[in-house]
This record gives sequence, C-alpha cells and structure tokens, in this order.
Amino acid sequence: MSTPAASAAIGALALDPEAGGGVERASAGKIGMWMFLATDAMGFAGLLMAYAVLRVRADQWPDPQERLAILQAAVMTAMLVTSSFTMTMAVRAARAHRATARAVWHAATILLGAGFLGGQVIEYDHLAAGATPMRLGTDVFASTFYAVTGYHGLHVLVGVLVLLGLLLAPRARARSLEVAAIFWHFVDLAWIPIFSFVYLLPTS
Amino acid sequence: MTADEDVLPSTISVPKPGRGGRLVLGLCGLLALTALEVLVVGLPVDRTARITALVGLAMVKALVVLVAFMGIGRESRLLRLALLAPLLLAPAFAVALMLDAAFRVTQR
Repeated sequence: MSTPAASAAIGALALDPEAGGGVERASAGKIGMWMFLATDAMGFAGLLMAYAVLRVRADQWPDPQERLAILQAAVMTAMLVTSSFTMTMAVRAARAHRATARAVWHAATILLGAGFLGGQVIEYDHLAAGATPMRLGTDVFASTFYAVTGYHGLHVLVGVLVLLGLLLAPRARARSLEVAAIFWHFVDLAWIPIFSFVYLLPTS
Repeated sequence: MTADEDVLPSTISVPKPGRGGRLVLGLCGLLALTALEVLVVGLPVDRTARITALVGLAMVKALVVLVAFMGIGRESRLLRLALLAPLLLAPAFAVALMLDAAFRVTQR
C-alpha cells in the first residue's frame, strides 16, 4: 500500500520522459533496492572513513603486506568479480526464459560467493592462529581490518543465502533475481575500495 | 502476480545479444585491473605515485561494475542521479577527510 505521493515519486524515478530509447522502466522492487543500497553505501563509506582517519592519525601503522596475504585476497577479488559476471548471465538467461542456463549461472554465482566466504574464513583462521596472532583486539589495524572485512563478509553471506533461496524456490521469479542481482553487484562494488585501501595501500 | 512469475513486464527490455561481448570484456578488464593493482603495490616507485595509481585503478574498476554489470546507463536519468549522488559524494567526502587528517598530522 503506497501513498499517492510515494507512487508519484517512484513513478518519477522509474520514468524519464526526456530519456531516449534503451532506457528501462524500473520496477518498484528495483528502485527500493537501489535506495537501500544508496544508504548502505554510506555505511561502508563511514567504516572506510573511520579506517582512513585512524590510519592517518596513528603513530605507527603496519604495512598490510606484512600481515595480510595479498595474493589470496586478489584471488578472492577475482572470485567476487567473476560472480558478478555469472550473476548478470543468470539474469539474462532468466529474461530470455532459458531455465537451464539460468540455473547453471545462478548456481555458479552461489559457488563463487561461497568460495569468497571460504577464503575469508581461511584468512581469519591464519591471521588468528599465526606465529604472531592477529585478533580483534590486538591493535587498531586488526580492529579496523576485522570490522571492515567482517561487515562486507556479512553482506556476502546474506547475498549467498538470498540467492540460494531463490535457486531452491519452487517458482523462481526473474524479477526477484534481478533485484537480488543489484544487491550482489553492490557487494562486489563495495569490495573494490576495501581491497585497495585495506589490503594494498602501502604504508611507506 | 499469478501464473508465471518468470515473465518480466513488457516494459523491461530484453538485453540485446551484443551485450554478452561487453560483459566478457568487462570481466576480463576487471580481472586485468585487479592483477595490475597487485603489481603496482610492488613497483619500486614513489609511494604517492603508487597510491594515486591504486585509487585510479579502484575508481575504474568501480565504474566498470556500475556500467557493465549493474547497467546504470540503462536506468532513468533521475534514478541515475539519485544513485550516483551518494556513491560519488561518499568517496569524495572520504578523500577530503583523509586529506584533512593528513594535514593535521603534518601540522603537529
């Protein structure tokens, strides 16, 4: 149930009379997801800003390469990026009513997402159980690292569960898949600055 | 919604066949940029240059995801503006804050 004002606002966002051909009319679900992500982006931005301020103001900050496994993180990044591709292919297959192709691409996305999470679990395990254990309270670097990557990891977990639910749903909805895809791409998008700033940004 | 939830409304266009190539290109580009980022970190150049390169590469990667995968270009102009405003303002604010923090540290 929506008010006339809300309907008008959604209509204005969905339709652009000045736009040319090729512009799609967005569904209410899609607009809702975009709006949610715009606010969620602020959450990520807040965490990254806190990370930046703490890092710049710290007297000493360890070089991320000394503590973190950069190559493993790069492989995890590749998995997430590839999962965005497979997600788009799943949506395309759903739109073209190709059920088998859709299921295959959809399942591939879930597997890649689960692979990313597995990589994160392995990474946390290595960090916490290494020769010089890095736990949540070890220092500011450790706290910010776990906070930022953990927050993102929760997003990936939610995405994987939602996609799994959609895959197992008896009557799959292409429209729902499209909305879930926007969330999934956002998860990929949010990882890009995390990988650059938390893992790669050199200290000296 | 009743019979077949799998059917999208006719107002939503089916992607053109040619877009598949663009998607593969986007994926290859993202993978190449990720590899480039890892290489940049190990380069024996000035730290500022490495940071600038990393920020630039990250911005290009984000743009590729937004355009190739999220299809931001196919949304209505108003929706695009509504979405891009926070997505652009947030990193801009972060950069400003980082510069401010760095300035304060040098003033100590």
